Amino acid sequence: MKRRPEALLPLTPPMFQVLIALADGEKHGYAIIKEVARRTGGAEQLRAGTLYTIIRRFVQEGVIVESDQRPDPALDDERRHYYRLTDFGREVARAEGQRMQTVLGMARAKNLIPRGRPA
Amino acid sequence: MNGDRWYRRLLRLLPFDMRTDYGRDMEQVFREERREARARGAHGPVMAWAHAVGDILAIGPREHAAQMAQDARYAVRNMRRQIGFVVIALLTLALGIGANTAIFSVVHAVMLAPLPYGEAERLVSVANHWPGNTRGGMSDPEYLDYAERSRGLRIAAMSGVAMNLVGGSGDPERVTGALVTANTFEVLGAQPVLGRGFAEGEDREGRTNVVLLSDALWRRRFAADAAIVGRVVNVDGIQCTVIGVLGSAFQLPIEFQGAGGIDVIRPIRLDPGAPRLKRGGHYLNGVARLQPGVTVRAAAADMDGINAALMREYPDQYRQGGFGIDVMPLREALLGDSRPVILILAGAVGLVLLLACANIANLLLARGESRGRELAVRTALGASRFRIVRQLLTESVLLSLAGALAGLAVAGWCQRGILSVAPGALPRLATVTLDRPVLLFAAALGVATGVLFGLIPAARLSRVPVTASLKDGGRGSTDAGRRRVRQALVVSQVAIAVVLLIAGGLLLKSFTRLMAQPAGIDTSRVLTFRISLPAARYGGRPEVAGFFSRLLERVASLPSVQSAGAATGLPLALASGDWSFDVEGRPRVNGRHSGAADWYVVTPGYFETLGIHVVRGRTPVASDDEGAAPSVFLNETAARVFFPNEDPIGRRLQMTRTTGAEQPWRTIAGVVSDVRQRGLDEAPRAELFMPHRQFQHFAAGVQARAMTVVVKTSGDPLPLGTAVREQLRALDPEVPAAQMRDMEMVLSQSVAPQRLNVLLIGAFAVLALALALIGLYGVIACTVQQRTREIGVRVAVGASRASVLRLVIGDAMRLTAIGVALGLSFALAFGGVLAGLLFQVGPRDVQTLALVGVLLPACAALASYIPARRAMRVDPVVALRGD
Repeated sequence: MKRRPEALLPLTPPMFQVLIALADGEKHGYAIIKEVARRTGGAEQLRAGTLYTIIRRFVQEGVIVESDQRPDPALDDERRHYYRLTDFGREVARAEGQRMQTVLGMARAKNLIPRGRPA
Repeated sequence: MNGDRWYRRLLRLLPFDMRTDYGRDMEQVFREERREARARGAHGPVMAWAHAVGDILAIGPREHAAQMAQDARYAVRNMRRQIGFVVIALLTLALGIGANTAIFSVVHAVMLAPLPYGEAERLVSVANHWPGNTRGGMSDPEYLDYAERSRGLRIAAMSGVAMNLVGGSGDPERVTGALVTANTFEVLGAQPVLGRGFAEGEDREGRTNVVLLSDALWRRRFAADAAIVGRVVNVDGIQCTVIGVLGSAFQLPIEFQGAGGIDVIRPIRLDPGAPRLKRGGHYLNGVARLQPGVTVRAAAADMDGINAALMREYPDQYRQGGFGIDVMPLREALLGDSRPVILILAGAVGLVLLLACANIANLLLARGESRGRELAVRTALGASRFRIVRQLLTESVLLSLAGALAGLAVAGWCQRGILSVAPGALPRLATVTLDRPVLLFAAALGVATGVLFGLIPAARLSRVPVTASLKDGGRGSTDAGRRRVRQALVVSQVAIAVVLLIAGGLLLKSFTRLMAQPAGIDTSRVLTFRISLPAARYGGRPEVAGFFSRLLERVASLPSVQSAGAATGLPLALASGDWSFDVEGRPRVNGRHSGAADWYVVTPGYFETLGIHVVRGRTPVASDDEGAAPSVFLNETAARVFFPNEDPIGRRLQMTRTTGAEQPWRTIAGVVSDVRQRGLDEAPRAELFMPHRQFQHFAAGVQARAMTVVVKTSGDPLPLGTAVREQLRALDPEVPAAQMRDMEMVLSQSVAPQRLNVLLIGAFAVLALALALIGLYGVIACTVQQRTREIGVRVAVGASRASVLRLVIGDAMRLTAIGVALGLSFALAFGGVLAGLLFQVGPRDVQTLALVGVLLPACAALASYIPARRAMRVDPVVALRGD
């Protein structure tokens, strides 16, 4: 039975950030943390515990999987595990983005967000 | 490296699974964080650690909860698929946990609940003992001497007494009251919730009459009137000012033994200035608070010294010897002989729960044989053994918590049953409720039970080898091991059932013996009630005796009444103490009297109404009055003890007097048959009976104002109560009748503790038997199913149906025999603990042991017959093809 991505919504901000971080390719845990911190200008600082509860939940739900492909061991620490989005995970990320857009539209309609300003 | 180790320790706060799956990754991430932090300066690593600790502390509990919720959801889903199993397990658990919770609520109320006093552990009971009485009271002079001389104790004294109360709403009422010394509340460390307690010296002669009311009485008769303090009520014909109302939880120590509460408390009247010569009236119960720094042992030694001094000062008063003072912790004194009874009940009901656990463990194992495949799939998918065990334990704990919830209903029901069967069987039993400690106990028992019955199956099932299970659908090499576990469980179940059946059997036999004891009275169609006349309006003997004569006349004239009489006591319910007397022509030796016997005052018609027959001479008659020569009557025991080998009729005796008028010489006019006055389990004691109209008390001013009336009717006695009350109102509207009941009820109430024991242990035994048989049935049925193929082969090579039957039943009987042998040896070894509860039956009664030794195997044979028949019908063709 095909699962609906909406069943997992809404995502918490850290969860969504993790999906965004993985959108352009597989990464290991520390790389995800760095990517999120960089992208949010340090506003979202994931810690190891929080990150891996999210990863665990996403793995259980089939949103992400551990990647079989590893970089050359010479280039990277072989103990690291890499994660990538599944097709379902991409749908979930899209659905969450859609949801947020709808919410933003509502806020704009009530003049809570100035029109035309880049998001 | 050191940092890694500390972080690893921190990760222990996370669920096991998460640690196993992601622990290394997390360490790795944290290591890199620290490396980067170090580059930021000295405070960098500190901050990194602070964040890491905060992070783990925040997610740890959440993850644990989430995992438990997940397990629980899975468990519920699983159970829904097995409704039959769940219902049986819940029922078993509800009975097991419910019975245990009910008994715990009794244990809690009777043994554990704090006494309603401040610093109750510093309270002790002070009692006298003398030959024939292990826990006796104190006399007024003794109390005054003890209180004045003791350095280690502050002693209070109290005595329960019936009082007539007029005031507030409703008819005059006979209530249970207490006379206490003024320091009682100070010693107990308790105060009234409204008004004040007694002030110092309020127990001295000549002070104004004041009274404290119980919460219950205040609500019942005075509608919880907040302005009650200062109002005047009439107690025993005396106007008393209400000075306070006691809290609803407050009880005097003397209340703990009985079911009924004390409603009215008045100060006792003591006269410290009077000569302290008459020391025989031991009616006061002593309670004391240890002075700071004083131990119970030191206080007891102090009292021993005081006792020795008093025996030297009053040699005439303590001529009998063997007199002493006991000081023991109040809680221990209140528990009295109840402790072993409670512990035995708790032990028995605990065994029932063990049995229930074994049964469910067995069911789980049986179910596990079909679950093997599912668990193997989960293991193959990567679930750790820990994960599987936890999942299985979650299921069993959830099941048993649900059982505990249902058990609360059973417990409430049991409590009501216990209270209705035997309200006064144990001290403080009336206070039993389903309160917070009891609820907590049920919850804890729920969890513990779940772990207990879940652990063995979980440990065994989680060990299923994956390949074997997946290959042959659940039957693997572990079958034999699992069967052995199940067989061991059944053997222990049978053993426990044997132990409980023996206990139940012994108590039942003991109870039967007890009930077969002749009480010495005819209890059929006899109404009884208690009347107590107020001293203020019934001062002398003519008024008192006159009232009872008129009352008995009126009652006897009612239709359906055959006879009526009255006495100061009541067989099986109310006994007096003994009093010494001299027999004419027998001079005192060393000042010792000729004898001492329990004494009662009786009216004509009393013996006839209760069916107590004349052995020699006659019974009291109307002409035994003030004008006639004083007479006295003996029971058979008194005649035998005091007049062996001679005819007592015509001999004279004289009661010892204290402060009253000179006692007359009384001629023995008759001997009546013995009565078990103090209960069916106590042999009759020597008793004297004096006619009411001729009685004058040994102490000045005292009359036999409180009498128990007995009425023999031609029909059901209880409906007569209304007519009797009308007659009473016509005589004196302010005198109430109390404790109206029929003699069958009196008899039944007198054996309440024994009945409670036999009913509870009996119920536990029956439950145990049923559970054990279900367990046995389950195991045998399962074995038959597993051995279908083997049986098929046997039949195919020519085994007869009968031999198959023998094979299966033989299996069952082998397990049963081991269980019975174990149970019997246990009963033989530890039967002694029951000895105290048994009457005329030994704890190793051969008949009972033999009966159980036969009964259980017979039941076991029946239980295994059903699966055996199924085995007999195995068709070899089907059995062999099916594989």
